[in-house]
Amino acid sequence: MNDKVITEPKGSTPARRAGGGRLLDWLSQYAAFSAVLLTLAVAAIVAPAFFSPGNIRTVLIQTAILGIVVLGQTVALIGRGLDMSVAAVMTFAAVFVIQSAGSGNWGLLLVQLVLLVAAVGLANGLLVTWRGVPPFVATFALLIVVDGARLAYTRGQSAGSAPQWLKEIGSGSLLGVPIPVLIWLVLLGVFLVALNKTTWGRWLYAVGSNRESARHIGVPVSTVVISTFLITAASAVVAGVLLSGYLGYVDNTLGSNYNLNSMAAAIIGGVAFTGGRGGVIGASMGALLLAILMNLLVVMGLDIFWQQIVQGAVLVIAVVIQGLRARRAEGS
Amino acid sequence: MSAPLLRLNGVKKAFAGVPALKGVRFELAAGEVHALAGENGAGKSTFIKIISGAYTPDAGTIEVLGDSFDTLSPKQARELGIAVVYQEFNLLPELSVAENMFLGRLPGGRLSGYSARRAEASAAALLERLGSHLEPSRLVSELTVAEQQLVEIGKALALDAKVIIMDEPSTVLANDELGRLHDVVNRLRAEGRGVIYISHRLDEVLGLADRVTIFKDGEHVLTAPTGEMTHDSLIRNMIGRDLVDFFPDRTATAGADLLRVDGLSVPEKIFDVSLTVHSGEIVGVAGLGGSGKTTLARALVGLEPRSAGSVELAGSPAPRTPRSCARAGLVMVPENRKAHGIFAGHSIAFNLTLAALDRLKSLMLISRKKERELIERSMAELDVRPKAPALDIAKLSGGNQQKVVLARWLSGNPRVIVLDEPTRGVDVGAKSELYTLVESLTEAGAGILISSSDVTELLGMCDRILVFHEGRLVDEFDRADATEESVIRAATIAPRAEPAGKTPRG
Amino acid sequence: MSQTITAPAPVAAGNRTLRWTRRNAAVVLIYGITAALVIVASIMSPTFRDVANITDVLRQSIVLGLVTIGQLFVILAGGTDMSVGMAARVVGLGVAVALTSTMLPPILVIVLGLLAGALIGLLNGLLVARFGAQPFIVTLGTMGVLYGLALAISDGPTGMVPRSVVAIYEMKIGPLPASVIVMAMLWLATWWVLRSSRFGRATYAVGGSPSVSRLAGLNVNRVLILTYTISGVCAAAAGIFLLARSGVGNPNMALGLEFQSIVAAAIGGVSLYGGRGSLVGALGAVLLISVISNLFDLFQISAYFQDLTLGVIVVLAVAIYRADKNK
Repeated sequence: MNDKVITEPKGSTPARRAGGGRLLDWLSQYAAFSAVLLTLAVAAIVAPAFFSPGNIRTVLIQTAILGIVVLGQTVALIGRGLDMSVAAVMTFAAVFVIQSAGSGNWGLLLVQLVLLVAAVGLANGLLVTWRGVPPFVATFALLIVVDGARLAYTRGQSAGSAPQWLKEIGSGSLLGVPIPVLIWLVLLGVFLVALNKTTWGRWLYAVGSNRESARHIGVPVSTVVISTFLITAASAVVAGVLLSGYLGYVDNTLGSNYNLNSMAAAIIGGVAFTGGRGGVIGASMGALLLAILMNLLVVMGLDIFWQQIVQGAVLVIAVVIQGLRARRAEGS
Repeated sequence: MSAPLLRLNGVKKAFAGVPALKGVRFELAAGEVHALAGENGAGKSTFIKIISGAYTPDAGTIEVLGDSFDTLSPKQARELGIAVVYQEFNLLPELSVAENMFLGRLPGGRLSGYSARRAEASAAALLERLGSHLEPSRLVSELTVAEQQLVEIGKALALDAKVIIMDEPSTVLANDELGRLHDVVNRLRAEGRGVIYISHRLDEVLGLADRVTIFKDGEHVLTAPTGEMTHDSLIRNMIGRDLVDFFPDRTATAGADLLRVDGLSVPEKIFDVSLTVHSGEIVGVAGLGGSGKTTLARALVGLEPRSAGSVELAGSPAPRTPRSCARAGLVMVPENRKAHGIFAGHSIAFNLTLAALDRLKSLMLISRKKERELIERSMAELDVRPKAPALDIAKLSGGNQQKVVLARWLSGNPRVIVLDEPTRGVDVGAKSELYTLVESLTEAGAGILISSSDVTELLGMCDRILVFHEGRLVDEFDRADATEESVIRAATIAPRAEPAGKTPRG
Repeated sequence: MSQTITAPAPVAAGNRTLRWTRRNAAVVLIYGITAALVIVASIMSPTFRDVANITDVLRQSIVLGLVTIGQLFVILAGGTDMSVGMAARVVGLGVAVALTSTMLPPILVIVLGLLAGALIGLLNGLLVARFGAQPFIVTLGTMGVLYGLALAISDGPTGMVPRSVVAIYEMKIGPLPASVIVMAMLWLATWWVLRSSRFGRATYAVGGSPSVSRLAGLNVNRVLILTYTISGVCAAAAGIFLLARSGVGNPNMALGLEFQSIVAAAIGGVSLYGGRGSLVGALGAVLLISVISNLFDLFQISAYFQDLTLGVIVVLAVAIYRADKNK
């Protein structure tokens, strides 16, 4: 048995190998990538318009914005958490942006955004670590609070237009690459290094994998968990600001699909919902997959409800693959 | 004597090539209490799991009430009337006593609901036979440990189990609760049931059981009526004779004070503990499960709240969090390797470097080169096998996992290393390697505190042995005057140093 | 996964009242708060203490109550059902459309609606029990699919509901709406099932420890699947009731029910890790939430503050709620 496993490729977080279940292993490692290829092949047949340069650009920008949220969500999932409040945080951040478009007070905007991240991240983190509330309940509660706070703050008048400079960032290019995509790629690099090359990153995998073992070797478990929720909130703020710039306007439903999509992207990209496994590369592939799928549905002229159905189905399939795989690993 | 309830012959079992049982035999008669004794690692728990169907034996036969089997499934074992009362109870705390006893077979019709009254009446009748008046409607979460144990035994009776295996039932009980447990066991015997009783308390083995079987290193040593045995003969047979060269020679000499503990208390667990560990010294802590030796180990590195007392490391107060303790050079290897030590599903490399990340940085980031060097050096020094850093640590044998857990700390050159049950679940070969390693650490000037329920290990390794009993340090032996018997006696029988209060058992 | 029980609280066998109070602190608290709120509101507002308003509060509690009953089974067995709100919406809209555009008798449509709910629940149960999918995330996925289906059925108000269906909401027996009486009977029935049926006890057992339950010979998968199926049926019933109340299929109906029902269970003292808690507490929480939303309306609190207030209450409630570290 052992000899066989030694030949396993070396990686920063080698995947668990279970006897049998090769298809499942393969699926969970390359599911997102192969699904991307498959979807592109389907697109080539059913909707050649998908490959127009303009549309490719759109897909990439959408990937980038979702991808930024997914970076945060991945961190939360690796730490055996998840964050349901990202959608609300995105929309609230966008509301601050359109207000500042009126006032032109960019300093205030920065303070508002930082406070938003700190308040939501700490509230989630403390509920989870200090009070032992399950992450989905804590972050869902914050989803309601943040949405409620936004409605109270705006009296429901969330609609508005983004400032000109932000529109330029959201839809502009640098050396032919859309700026949101550049920002996403830079952040992806930062997360890649942070997860694999820093103490914090190793601690995060340790905390997600076995909290008690982590405590025993001196990992500050609560601090690490709280940091994950600060990061999800921060990534949601960045994505919300970029999205409002890209769209040029803001409304009440700006972030609404991002909870489900960010989780579906990360999980189909091989990030384990049981914590401690997966990485941002796979998750980003998941983001690409979802962006392509959503766009393809639009290009094909299908009704908007198909987007909901597809993103729900992707999440179900991703969780089922992982569930089956975990069950097989347990059994062996 | 009529046909035995249970007879096993030539039972073998190996894990990943390491034999745990090397062809043992065992026999249980109706109306017999048969004690099973042996050191940790002798193969007792593997043996129980084979009888209860949790493990499949590699060879041998299992005969239950005259029928012969190669292996049993858990369901089969249950239906044949074999029940196990584990140390960790399999109870549902939010269900009532009666519901726990009859779960899966609650009386009553499909639509009429189950009849709580009937279940409780049956439960009361069964408990009555055990001499207990425990109210069957009470929730298990409200019961004391002793009462919960009774419910577990009641569950076995509810299945009308003929063979009842009790895995160290006395370790979870206080002294004054023991009498009642023994009474229950006697009642089971009187009903004609067979009880396999596993215990480390030798007086209990001699006083309660009819026969005793001793395992050692997976082999059957003897089966004899307890009347023919004494404390000494039991211990001699459990240890065997050829242990002398198993342990490395102690060459290091004790130097300055490294660790000084004064009046340390942890609420409800340990009280007023004082001890000193010198540089180059190995100090052992003996005691039964639950005596507080694990709590001591955890409290030293900040994993348990200290309510009183002080801990000094090389003259200055020791920090209170695991992380700062590790930085100051005070580290601990936990008892429960799987739950508290390793990160299963992650590579050996990941597990190995996690505590040494600070030393692997160059330009703020973890240097792959330094990481690889550390991994190669550690794996070579400790001879971790197989030498495959990318391998999932969960796939290693217990001994190799323990080497990784230990190696994790060693690269930081810790000053004091606390080892809690360092060789539990570790095969004999790796044991010896670990002992040699620990000895070499003292030569480099480290101080070692070993907490262990394996007295042979303590006698072989330690310069001094401290004995814990019910949360207090009750005795201390020098290497020269410690004998297996004196240490076990101090740990199991009423303590000398403790003020009178609990009645000593004879 | 085996349950380790350590250091039990030594409780004197005699002192039953004290023991009960300590175990059910959340239940006592929730009824205390509800009672206090009702008393204060009655003193401050004559409208509130009006019999018509009180029965209205009770009738308002039905939708959340139905969903909470289903959610309770799922949570007690150690799961979560995030799809209940969207299941209610899909069934409500589907029934509305079927009532308008087909000639089927209303009773048959309603039964089909309930069956659809059962099917949704069965699917969730299969995904969790047979495929080992994590309950929260997988039901979040089915929630997404159902949301899409609801949009597919209609994205605007649809379907005129016949009188016979509206009667579900309006029919009265004496001074009380029939629906309230039926609901009370449902709570009673659920109480009995959880407390006295084998399935009810098995639900607690599976939530307490699947492995111990399996050892004891329970069919864990069947229990799990059944709890999700019950939850699906309850959600469908809530959707149909909402339809009867509004008289028209509303594409925004049943918003947030999934979370409200989980919160109702949590603040009612039910452990979100499964296996512990009572229906009585959850009922108290449902009543409390209904009273609060009634007061919002009575005191004409701006809709924009209602969500925030509710959210803050939820955060406080879950912050007070202490997770048991047994698991």
